[in-house]
Amino acid sequence: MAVLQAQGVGRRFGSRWVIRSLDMALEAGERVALLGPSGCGKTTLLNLLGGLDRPDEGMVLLEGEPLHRASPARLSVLRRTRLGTIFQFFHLIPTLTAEENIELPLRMLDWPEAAIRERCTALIRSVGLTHRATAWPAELSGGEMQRVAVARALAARPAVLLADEPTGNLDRSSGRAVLALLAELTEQEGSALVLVTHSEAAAGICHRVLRMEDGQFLAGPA
Amino acid sequence: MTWLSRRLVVRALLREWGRALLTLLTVALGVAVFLSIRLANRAAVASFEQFTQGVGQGSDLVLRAEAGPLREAQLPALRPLLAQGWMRPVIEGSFARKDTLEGFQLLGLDLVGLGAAAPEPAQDLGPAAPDGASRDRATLDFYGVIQDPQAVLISTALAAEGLAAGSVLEGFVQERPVRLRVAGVLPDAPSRPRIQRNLLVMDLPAAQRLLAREGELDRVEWGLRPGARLVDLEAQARRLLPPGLVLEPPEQRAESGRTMTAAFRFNLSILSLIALAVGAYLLFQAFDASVNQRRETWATLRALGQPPAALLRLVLGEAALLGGLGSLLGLGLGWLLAQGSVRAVSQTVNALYGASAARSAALHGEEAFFALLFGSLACLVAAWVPARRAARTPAVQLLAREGGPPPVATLRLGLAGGCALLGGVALAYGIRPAPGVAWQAYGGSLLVLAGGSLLAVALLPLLGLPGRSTRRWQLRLALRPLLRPTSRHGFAAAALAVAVGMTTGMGVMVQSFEHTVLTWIGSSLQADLYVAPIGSAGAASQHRLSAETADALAGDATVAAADRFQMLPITFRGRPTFLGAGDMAVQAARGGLILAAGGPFPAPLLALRQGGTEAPGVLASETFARHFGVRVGEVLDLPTPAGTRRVTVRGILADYGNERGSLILDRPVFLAWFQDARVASLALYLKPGQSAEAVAARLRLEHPGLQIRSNGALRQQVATIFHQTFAITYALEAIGLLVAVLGLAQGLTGLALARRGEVWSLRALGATQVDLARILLLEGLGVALAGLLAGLGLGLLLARILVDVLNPQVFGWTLAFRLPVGFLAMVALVTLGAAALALVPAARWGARLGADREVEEGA
Repeated sequence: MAVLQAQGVGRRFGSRWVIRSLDMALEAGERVALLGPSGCGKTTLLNLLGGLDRPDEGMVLLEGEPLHRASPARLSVLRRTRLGTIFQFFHLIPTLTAEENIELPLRMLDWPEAAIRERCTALIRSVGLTHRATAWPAELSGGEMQRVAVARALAARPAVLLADEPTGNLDRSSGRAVLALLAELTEQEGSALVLVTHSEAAAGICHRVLRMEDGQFLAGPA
Repeated sequence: MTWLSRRLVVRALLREWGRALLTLLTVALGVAVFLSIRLANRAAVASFEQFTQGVGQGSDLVLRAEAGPLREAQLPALRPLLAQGWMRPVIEGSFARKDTLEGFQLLGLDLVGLGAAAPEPAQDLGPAAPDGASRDRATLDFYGVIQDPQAVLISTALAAEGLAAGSVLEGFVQERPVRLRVAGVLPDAPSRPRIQRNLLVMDLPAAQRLLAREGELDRVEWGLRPGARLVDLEAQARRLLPPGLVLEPPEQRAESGRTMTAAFRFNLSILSLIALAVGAYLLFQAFDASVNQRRETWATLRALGQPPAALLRLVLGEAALLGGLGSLLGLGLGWLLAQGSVRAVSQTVNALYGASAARSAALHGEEAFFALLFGSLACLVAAWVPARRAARTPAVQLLAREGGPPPVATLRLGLAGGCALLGGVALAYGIRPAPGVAWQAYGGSLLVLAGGSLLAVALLPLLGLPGRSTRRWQLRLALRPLLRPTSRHGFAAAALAVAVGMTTGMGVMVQSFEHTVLTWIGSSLQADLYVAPIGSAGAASQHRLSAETADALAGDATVAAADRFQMLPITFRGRPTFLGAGDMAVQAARGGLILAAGGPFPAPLLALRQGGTEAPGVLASETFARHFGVRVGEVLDLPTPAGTRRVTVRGILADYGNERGSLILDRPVFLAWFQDARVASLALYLKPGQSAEAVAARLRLEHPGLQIRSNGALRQQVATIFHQTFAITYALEAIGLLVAVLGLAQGLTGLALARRGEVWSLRALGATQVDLARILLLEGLGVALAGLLAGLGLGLLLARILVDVLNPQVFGWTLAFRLPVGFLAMVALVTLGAAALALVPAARWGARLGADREVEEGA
């Protein structure tokens, strides 16, 4: 059974359809890349898949549950437990240290303190930032910030990880390191990944690549 | 206007009309609050001066007696002056309307002498008509006024209320019921201020008869004949001047009015300052938000090569445009607000000074200009800080999505604040200038305000400390930003601290004042009944009880003792003050005056009685003692109609009755020197077993022209007047507080805007809108708490300076400091409650902000 499914989804802004009648399905643990030029609708689709936006047509199902009909409260629960998000611009909370950023989703879920510590220590070790655990985001490099963002997104063991141009704001070597980390950790955690990118190289870590242009997949339903 | 400014300023304002409108309204509100207080202040002072000046305008010199009335018999000595000048004798009195008990100023003028109706104009009385009224025979029936001893001329404002020629005005003069006939209307002259509404003009002899003061005058106004020189007239007048008479410029009378209302005007001036501070703060918040919202535009311009100075010019140009338009809008709004506030001011002036005050505020040209200037300049100053910040910030930092204003150096600010606070206290308490001057107290207060507001910013990291250790993620996210507060946090906390501080300072001072006055009243008012003519109000009242009525009341079968109190204005050492007279034997036996110096009660009073006219003594009020630098044992030269008399100060009295101070003689001495047996008020001590209310009810029936109040009723009235005096203070402080809280909400929306990436991130992590709103709300409340705590602290310090230094120094009043815990708790609750109410919508807006923005930026 598909862990995440889009059926005939479309979204318009004003009278312009940014994406229209898209179908896609994502299996558990699968990594899929959405590849395409700027403005083709990748981020719009990602926002619909993550329940951050609602489609004007079609439906999105997360583990069989229709996201487009979920209440805001239910969406928040799903985002805390089943979805993880990584942004191009990191969006770390500047007033929390690196490890506090990572443990934030667990605190939102009221995990016991010991469990939070254990999980956080493991994740920070996984992303190689043990020595930077108490640093403020402003003290981290772009690559380090994105590694913290990856760890934070995976903290609550989501079923699906949505990554929007996670290397778009990084130099090539940091980008490569972050991609490798994404592949390794999603593999390790068993999370599926939707990776939005315009880089063929980045798409290379995925099992499947869906190419987009003008709001449509180029090779039919995926 | 350049191509760039047309597109980036005008077009941007038109496209983002919602933002432009909000800023315009903010500017308008700031200007309106400022203008309304200024207009109300001006209306109150103008009406008071109009009242005290009467028809004094147009004269060059004023002749009056130093003490007591000026007698017509003294005038022939000045006849040689008529070669150079004309004269206008004036008598003043009060009339209380029967149905409303409204007070009127009754003015007796020699209408024959004014020449309007005389077959041959009496040249020696000069050409000026009352208040510049033209000699309009159609309007002014001079013959009618002269022939009818009850005839009065009324103002156009009063005539507009339906009083036509022939109408009857029923009321009381002194304690006697009278019926006055309206004989005509005093026309307003275009070049002069409007004649005050509550002015009644009578022919001089008729007025003297009505006031039972035949042969007496209050003043004689002198004007120059064409070609004559004032210095010559003055020099000759001083040579001819009989003893006991003084010659003064007409401005001195207005000055005495200003002195009399000094405390009241001080109150309004403080409120103007609050309005100014609050208005400026609102403007700063509006422009800060405006600049912040367009940071990407500024960054792009910088990236395209626009120098910082050009950027600064663009932002300031926008500020000037919005400032000018908003100020114009604020003029109208301020005028409307002033109509409400002037009524409150008018009530107070009426209650305190018995002067009829303005009922509406005109949009004065000078004030309008100042308001426009204030609005425009304040906008430029308010825009300067964020504009300079935007101009100085590197483009890349402006464009960065996480970028917000940098944290402020709280430790440095805290140190500076502490120094300013200590410096303020040292300045206020360490220097003692001459009485009546208090620059050190004002300077000290300003430093305390500045220091307290800086400490509010320094308090933020302390309040953020729990955010470091708490495991509750919402609290952590809410309080962490306070650990490293930005200028937005700082400004919001500082502004709230100033508003709370001024409210607390004034509030605690007023409560201390009230407590002191009520204690004084409680001790001073020991009689069972207090009697005064209807219409009496304040020390300036002209109503008097006749000696016969006073004797009749004192001789009533139910009365055990009576204290006859008289009060009249005198000129002492060239300055206006009051001379009072009371029965020291009665006071010593039954009264309870509070003595600040001169020995325990009633020793100084008995010394006055024993001294009699042989070794005359006097009691000085505390305000008098401070104003004139007088001490117990000092010998004063007291002006009396019988010549100067030397009196020894036997004691200093606590007295909060008037600001000019007073000297009190024993009644027998006063009678011997002034030959005036009338009384301003009468205190009756009833025999045991008599019901004060029952006796009062009976006496009211027997003497319909008298106001007879029981002890309790009088105390109640004092308390009511006191509260009325400060009603406008409380109202405007509430506005100040409200505006500061609104500014706080505006600050929070700015913070949410700056943190929109963070908000969006939290939403993606699963935070609900309620979570986000709660975080933003808690952050705002943390800022509010810092402002509140610092404000309460600086407010208490300010109150101490007002009570310990400013009041004794300026007004001569010693007040007992009182810590009103209930009031402080109320300020805290109202501030936090209002902050929460204002912050909730801002927080909810901020919680929704992230998603919308990101969707727009996506695709």
